[in-house]
Amino acid sequence: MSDDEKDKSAPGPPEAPKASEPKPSEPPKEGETPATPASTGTVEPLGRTAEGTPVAAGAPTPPPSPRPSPATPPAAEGAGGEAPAPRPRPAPPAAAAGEGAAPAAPRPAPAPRAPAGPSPAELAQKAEVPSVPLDRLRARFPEIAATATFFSGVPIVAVPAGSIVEVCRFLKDDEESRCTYLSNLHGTHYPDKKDKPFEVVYHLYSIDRAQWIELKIELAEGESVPTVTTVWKTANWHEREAFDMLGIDFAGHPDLTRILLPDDWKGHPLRKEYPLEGNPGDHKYYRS
Amino acid sequence: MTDTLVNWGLIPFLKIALLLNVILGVVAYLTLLERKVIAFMQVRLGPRRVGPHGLLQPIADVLKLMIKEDIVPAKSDHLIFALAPAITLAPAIIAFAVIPFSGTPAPLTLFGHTWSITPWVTDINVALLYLLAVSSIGVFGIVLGGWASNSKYPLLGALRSAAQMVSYEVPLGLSVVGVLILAGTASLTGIVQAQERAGIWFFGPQIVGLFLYFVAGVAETNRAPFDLAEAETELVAGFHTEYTGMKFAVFFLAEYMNMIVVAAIVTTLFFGGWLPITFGLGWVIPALPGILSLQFLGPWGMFFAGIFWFSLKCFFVLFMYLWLRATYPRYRYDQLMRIGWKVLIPLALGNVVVTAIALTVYRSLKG
Amino acid sequence: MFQTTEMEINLGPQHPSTHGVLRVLLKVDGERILESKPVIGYLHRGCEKLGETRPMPQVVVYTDRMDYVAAFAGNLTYIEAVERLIGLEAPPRAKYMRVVLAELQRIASHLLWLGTHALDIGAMSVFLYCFREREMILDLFEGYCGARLTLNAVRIGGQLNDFPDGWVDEARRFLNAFPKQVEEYETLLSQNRIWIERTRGVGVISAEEAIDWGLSGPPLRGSGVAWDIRKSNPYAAYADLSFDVPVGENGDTYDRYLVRMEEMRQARRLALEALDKMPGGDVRAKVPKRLKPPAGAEVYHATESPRGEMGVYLKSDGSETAYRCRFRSPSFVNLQALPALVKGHLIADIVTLIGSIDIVLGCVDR
Repeated sequence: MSDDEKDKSAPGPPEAPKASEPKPSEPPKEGETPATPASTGTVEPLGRTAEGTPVAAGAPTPPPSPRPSPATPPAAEGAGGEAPAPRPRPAPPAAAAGEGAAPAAPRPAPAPRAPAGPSPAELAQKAEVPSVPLDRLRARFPEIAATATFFSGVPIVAVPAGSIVEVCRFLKDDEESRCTYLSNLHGTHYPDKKDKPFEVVYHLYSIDRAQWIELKIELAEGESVPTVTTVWKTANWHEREAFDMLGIDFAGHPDLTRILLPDDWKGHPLRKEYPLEGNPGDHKYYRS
Repeated sequence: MTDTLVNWGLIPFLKIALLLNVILGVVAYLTLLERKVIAFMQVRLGPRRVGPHGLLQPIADVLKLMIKEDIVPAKSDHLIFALAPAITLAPAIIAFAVIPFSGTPAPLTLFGHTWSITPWVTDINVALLYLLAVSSIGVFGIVLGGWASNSKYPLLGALRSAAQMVSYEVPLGLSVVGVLILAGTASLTGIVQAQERAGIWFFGPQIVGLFLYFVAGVAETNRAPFDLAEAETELVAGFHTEYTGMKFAVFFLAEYMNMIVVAAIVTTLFFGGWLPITFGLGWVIPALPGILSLQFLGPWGMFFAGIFWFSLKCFFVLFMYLWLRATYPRYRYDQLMRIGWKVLIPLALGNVVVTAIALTVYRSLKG
Repeated sequence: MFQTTEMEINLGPQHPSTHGVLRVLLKVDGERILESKPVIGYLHRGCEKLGETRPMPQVVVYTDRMDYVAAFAGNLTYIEAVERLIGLEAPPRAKYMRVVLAELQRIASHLLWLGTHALDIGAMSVFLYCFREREMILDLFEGYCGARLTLNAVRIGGQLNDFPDGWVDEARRFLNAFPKQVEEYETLLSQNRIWIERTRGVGVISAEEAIDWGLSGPPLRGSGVAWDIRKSNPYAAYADLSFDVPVGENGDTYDRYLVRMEEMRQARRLALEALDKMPGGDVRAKVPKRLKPPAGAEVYHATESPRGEMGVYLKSDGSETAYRCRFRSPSFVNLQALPALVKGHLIADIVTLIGSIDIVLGCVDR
């Protein structure tokens, strides 16, 4: 897509560097240290703070880039569900990222500045493919399966936190789907989603069907999700890591302690507000 | 009076001094030989920088160990901690007292007197029993070393090692009974002379005994594939984990000296000691053994020829030790005990019975 | 009269044979292990957070360093995940090149596994022989991308460079001579009485339990489950190539050993076939200067690394930097099953089992 744009407008490529020139000088105006963008090489901060974490709502944002706002294409494409309410400023990427697979009636796109509509390639990526686990889920939990979207051939289903164990056990024990393999379990932090900033993602795999299915849960701060260690033993360490890195609480877990960091570490590193270099007071051996 | 003093005091003293130095030198160079042989088996070259072809490597190693800091764990039992290596080394050294390196005593004429220099420190008629007894004492040093370290890994290693050595003492002892029956004497010189008289070395009729003695000997000396007491990859270093510097060197020396003792005993009992290797041609050409023992050079010729043949055979057995180490994985503890008790001991007992029956039949047939 | 107590031993982070900084707390009764607990995190470097702060093309170098023994597998998984995210497909020649390099990396990784596993059990010479072959493979990698260990040999949209002149012949020469070497290892080990006694019946795990623990790769196939991602969900050019998937029967260490030995042969077969069938053409598709993944899209891509299922989950926010980058490493998940495998065995077996699961701590801790 951007290749076409570049080919059409001959002075295309020079535009990008010109427009980006204000950027490296902009952090000093805001009082940030300019050193860190240089240390990341040729990367433009692209709307991020000097530490590289996405801009939290309320922080000063960079001037509008020549690219279309990232927030509007998702609304135009209906990707994964409803877009967040259009922001008054050119949206930092955090806004676009702050969406999950929520149940969606596709909303009318706010005046898009980007080329309207998804490209055929993107539509192909979101196309529905036959999925036995999803079909079985539709049969048993129709209201949960209605939220399903697809990306790159994998169904993504949003599940309420309370019923995750039931859904997982159903998918595991069901004769047709036989999702006996829990491939991955992790958490993500969306600080821009004020009510439900945490998300726990499960990837289930059916060895017989050779098909994946992804389940997602949205969690509020402090809310806990029931553990699935009773369904698959392998969830044990995955959940410990999610707890260690993000602070997500798994109710009923046999041993919810830190796994990768020392036991007396404070803070949860994969949260977006946690700096990449760590905080000075996190550990008694940490040297700031 | 001076005769007795010299014969029973000075000469043995000098022999011991000479033997000790030679054996320590051999042990040091055995370490280099091991590294070189195993390296060549593993498609590499081994030490080659220190001196030509690494020949000064043992000297460098000894020097390094001598000047290393001697670390003693604070909570260890200091006295036993220091004594344990010595208790391990002493039996290895005194075992050399009865081993015959050659066959013929040679006369030495000095200051008008002629003394007969025997190529052994002493020749007692219970030499075999003495050797078995002395090798059993070696277990003490290991157990004490592990215990005195006051640390878990050495303790585990010491217990494993103690159990292993004690269990393999039994097949060790039983496997030489066959040789005893055939030779009729427990004196080592007597056993070699019996082989000379018989014209056939005992590894022929006592092949099972040889196999058993060698395997039990490998287990006794904590060498691969029975080296779990010092298995680096499991217990870091077993009973000598906490030892550094010279104390560690003494443990090391003791292990290699035990190896040489076992090799010497195997040579003496099964491979004809100092007798020359004739590949059986001695039956065809009766003069051959005499020529190969340098008889034409007189007693001193035979003295040194005997030492040469003895050393050659010892090195062959030591090469087998190294070969085993380079090739085989390590046995697990319970498998090792099972082999010692359930496989080797029945075999050894069987060997004794069969040898006794065969000899009785042979003698009665001969008339 | 006699009172026996259990001993707690620490197989510390520094140990000659824990394949990295792994700590295992053991509760033993004499020699028998009652309980064990692995403690990890000594090599944690925050790769996931780094993946969120660097643009996607730059994160590839971190994937080398996670599973540093099979660096290409990490590279390939990440790059293919990015390609899936942005909807880009590599040209056919690049796919075949990726297969060749991946299978060479599989052989190299299994050689290292065999050498260290045999060394742990006490057969020292096998270690040196395996490294002799591994050196040849590392020389091949050096000829291709300049690095022996941390390859960074894949780019988004294909490969950076085609094979240099003479590389294919050199690779073929190695691959043709390889079966003889595998036979050499097998003569030393497969029928060796001591080896069989040390590995048969050690660490038995059933197929259902293996799936429940999330095992993948040779530990799972050793228990009889014939799942190989290259066959079930093919990526790169695996769909066009034919190979067999070795499967064990008993789920013990000996079967896992046999599975990996056979995998080396199959990897050689795959590499030769890919070299024969390699099409001409570009080695890299046209990649936009600025990657524009669809905002809000997420993808989980899994490949068969020598250790098992290596997975990368990427969530995009429309920019060139991933919003969330999750590395699902096979060693992390496989290591979790260690307490179940080792229960009731002797101390000597824990080292055998750590080697049999084949973990790399960089992969475990990320």
